[in-house]
This record gives sequence, structure tokens and C-alpha cells, in this order.
Amino acid sequence: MNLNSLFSLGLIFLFALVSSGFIKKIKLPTVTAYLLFGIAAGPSLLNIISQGVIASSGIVTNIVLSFIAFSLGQNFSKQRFREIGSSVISLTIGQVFGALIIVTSAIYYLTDQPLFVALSFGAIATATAPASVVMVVRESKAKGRFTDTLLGVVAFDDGAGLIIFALILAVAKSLAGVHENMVTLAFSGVLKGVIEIFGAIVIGALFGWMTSLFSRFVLNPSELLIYTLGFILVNAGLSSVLGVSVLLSGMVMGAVLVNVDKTSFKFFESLRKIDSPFYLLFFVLSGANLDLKMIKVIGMVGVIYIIARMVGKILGVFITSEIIGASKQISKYLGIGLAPQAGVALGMAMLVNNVFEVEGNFILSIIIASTVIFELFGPALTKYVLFKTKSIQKI
Amino acid sequence: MIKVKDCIKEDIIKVRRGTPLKEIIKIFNENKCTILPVVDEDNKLVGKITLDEITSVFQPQSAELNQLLKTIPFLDTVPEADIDIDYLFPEMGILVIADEIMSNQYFTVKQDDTIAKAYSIMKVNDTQVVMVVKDDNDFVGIIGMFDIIYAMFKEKGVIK
Repeated sequence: MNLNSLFSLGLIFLFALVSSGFIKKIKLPTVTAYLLFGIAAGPSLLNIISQGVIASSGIVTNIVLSFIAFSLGQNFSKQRFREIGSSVISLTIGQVFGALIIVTSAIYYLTDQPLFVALSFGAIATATAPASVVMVVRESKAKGRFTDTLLGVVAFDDGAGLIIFALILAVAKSLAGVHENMVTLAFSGVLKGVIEIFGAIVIGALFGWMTSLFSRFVLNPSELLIYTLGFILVNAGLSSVLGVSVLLSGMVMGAVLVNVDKTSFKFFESLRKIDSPFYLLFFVLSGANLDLKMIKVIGMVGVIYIIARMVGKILGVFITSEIIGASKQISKYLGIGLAPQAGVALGMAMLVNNVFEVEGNFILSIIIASTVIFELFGPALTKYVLFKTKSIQKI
Repeated sequence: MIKVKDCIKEDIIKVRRGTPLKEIIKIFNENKCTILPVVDEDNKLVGKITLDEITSVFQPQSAELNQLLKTIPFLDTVPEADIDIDYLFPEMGILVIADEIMSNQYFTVKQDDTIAKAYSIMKVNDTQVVMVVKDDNDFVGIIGMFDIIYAMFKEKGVIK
């Protein structure tokens, strides 16, 4: 059906809202409803989303990712690191690298995929879905040391995952389509990566500082919102034009802002007031981008990705726990509790889809399909580990 | 131009970092106040407590962890979960202290700033109250939207 874009947008908002009402009854997060609705409404099934709206996926993804990166940047302050503690930070880093290494190796060695595709999967595997974990914790009224550690790790994970993703994507981009000898290839990849990362840090820092500096000219809450949005988008747009990491520059912008401005929370609060419709649209369009014809092709790689990601998270937590002397409960169960994966992974995959024309759609389709699986079964795994660690009394 | 020091409320009840929750709730109840400044032993402003901070004790996680969770994108908010009575226990009145629940998200002005500046901060940030501090962050008092309006009426002789 070829719908008018405005009508289609309106339907998306209303039907997504109704879907979220249904999915809450089976104790799953709203984002899962948006994603499933997107798959159902997309071109592969009902086809009720206009081409105009689907064509806007790229810009919606970029806007949402710049919001997420900017918001996650606020956690990178000395005070926040002190509050969260070294064990949570170590475990976060451990499970991020666990997922990256195991997934990259598994995809590279067990399938016929080239290294840059394996690296892309590895980088995406680092993300978790903190919203799902928090929902399970709240719904089951879990508490205690294990629960606090789990929440700390999932809250911090996406920030760490985005940094790793930005670094890996920079390298993967330079590896793609290059057929030189390994030394030249590795050197060129690393060099381009360093330039991309360093450029992002400089741009993000500059815009973070400018956001604080000129905020004295803002006169009311509406202007504050427009001002914040303007700086976030200019930062993302300029990073994109200059070919540096949009994610990293957004995070650095948020991080610099929170460290130079005592009242920086006003910018983040302001953004939170309007981000929901963007997030809704992002999830629905992510779902709509799932090409169901790809399901046949993605089978084995998808299964390997799902298994390797879980093994990587569990192994990463286990090894880090042994090093830092964490409790047996954390060592054994924390990795399993990190199973859910949703928004940030989808955003990363959409970005990969924009970067790699041929392989991008393959990667995106696998991530959308695996996200559905992780979002449907992940919360149950999280609840299981909360029970096993006696954080809750019954399942 | 009227200065902040001309209309500041200085007789504000404030609490120390170590003040227990029991005492904080008593102060809120008896004085019907909406905000409690938190100061350290040198009277430096270190935080504020409003009803939002008090309701954080209805959550099993620490205030720091709750702050971190607020930064998570796509989080489902369930308003009734904010006041879950199951997490309250009697010893909390003594065990929980101001330092654990206070927020460091507040706005400040100096005594010599104009009330126009204080008013602008309130309007931009959609808040009714701003803390007043000296250059070294020594707490002096608070100034509210009504204090500003009252001072203006007084200045023009509308009231005496």
C-alpha cells in the first residue's frame, strides 16, 4: 500500500502505542513491542509504512544515535566513576572485550565472512539492553549486591560498547574491500582509525565546551531545548561530513559538558522531554528494515552470533571475576544476566548498514532477528540468574 | 537594580550530610518546606533534598545507582514503582542519611547578582528556587520566585 507519509507516521505512533499496551501485559519492554510492530508493518509483511517514512530510516537512526551517545557521555565524570566503583567498571570492560573477541573469532573462523564483517558483529555484540534488565529487576523486586552489580554493568555497558564500536568500525571500514598485503592493510586500517577517533574527540570536546559557554544566552526552556538539539545535531553532522566517528564525538561532547559545567544536567533533562517519539520511530523503522527473505540466508551466522555473544559475555565476566576476586555468584551468573540486546545494537547495525552497502543489509538483518530473540528470551534469563543468586525468592 | 541579597531568605533550615532520614522527614512535615539544602561541616553547599530525593528511598538501589539508571535510553517508566512501600523498613529512619539521598543537581546565584539573573535561571530551567552562595560556595540562603516578585512590589511601594 502506498500511504501518504504523514498518515503513515500517525499510524505508526498510534499502533506502536497500542502494541506496547499489549506487550506490557506479558512483562516485556515497550521497545520489543515497537520492534515487533515494525517487523509486522514493514514491507515484508503488511506494508503499511510509506516508502517516504522508510527512506527516513537513515536520518532517524543518526538523530537517535547522536541522542544516545550524548546522553551516555554524561556518565563519564570523575564523580560517577567513583560512585560506581572499580569492580563494576572492570566487569563492564571484561564482558565487552569477551563479547568482541569471541564473536569476531567465531564469525571469522566458523563462517566464510571476511574480517571486517566479523569485526562489525563483534563490536555490535558488546551492547546490552539495560532497559530490559532494569524492567526485570523492578518487576521482580530484586535487590542485593548481585542486582546492584548487574544494574551497574548494564548501565555502563552501552557507553563502553559505543566506544569499542566506534574504534572497531573505523578499522573495519578501512579493511573493507582492501586487498593489499596484511602489513599495509593493518597499518592503513589502524592509521585511518586513529585519525577518525582523534578527530571525533577534538570535535566532540569543542562542541561540549561551546554548548556550556554560550548557554548564558538561552532565555527560556524552549530555547534551551532548541539550543541543546542544535548543538547535538551540528556536532553529529559535522562529524559525519568530516568522516569522523559520530558516536564518539557525541559521547565526548556529553562527557566534556558534564565535566566543565556544574549545571549540565539541564541539557540532558531538556533532551529527555522530547526523545520518546524519536526512539519509537527508530525501533519501528528498525523492525521494518528486516528483510524476511534474508532469514533463509542468515540462519547459521545468526545462530553463531547468538551463541558466541552469550559465550563471550559469560567468559568475559568469568575471567574478570577471577582477576578482581569477585564473588562466585557474579563470576557464574552475571554474564548470563546480560543476555538482552536491543536499541543500541540496532543503532550500531543501522550505522553499519549505511557504511557497507552490500554486507550492511546482511549484518542488519541478523542483528534485527537476533534482537527479537534476545529481547524475547533475554529477560527470562535475567530473571533466572536473579533467582539463582537469591536476589529474588521465586521465578 | 535589586540584588539577590535584598530579597534572600537567610533563615532557611538546612541539614548536614549525616542527618538521618527520620530527622529530614520531620523537618519537611513540621515546616512544610519544599527544599532542604545540605551543607558540610564548613557550611559549604553540597546538595539539596526535595520530595524527589526522599522518594528515592522507595527504591532498593542506592541513589547513585538510581542516578546512573536515569541516563539509560529507552527505559520504561512506571510511576507507581517510584513509591513501592515494600522496600521501606523501620531502621531506615536512622540508617539512611542525607548524604546518600541528596542530589547535586541545583542552581546557584551569588548575593551580589541581580534578581533578574536569578529570575532568568528559574525561567530557563523551569524551577521555582535557586540557592544563594558566596564565592567559596559558602551557603547563604535561598531565593524563590515569590521572593523576587515580592521585592519588586516592595521596591515600587505597592506593598510596605
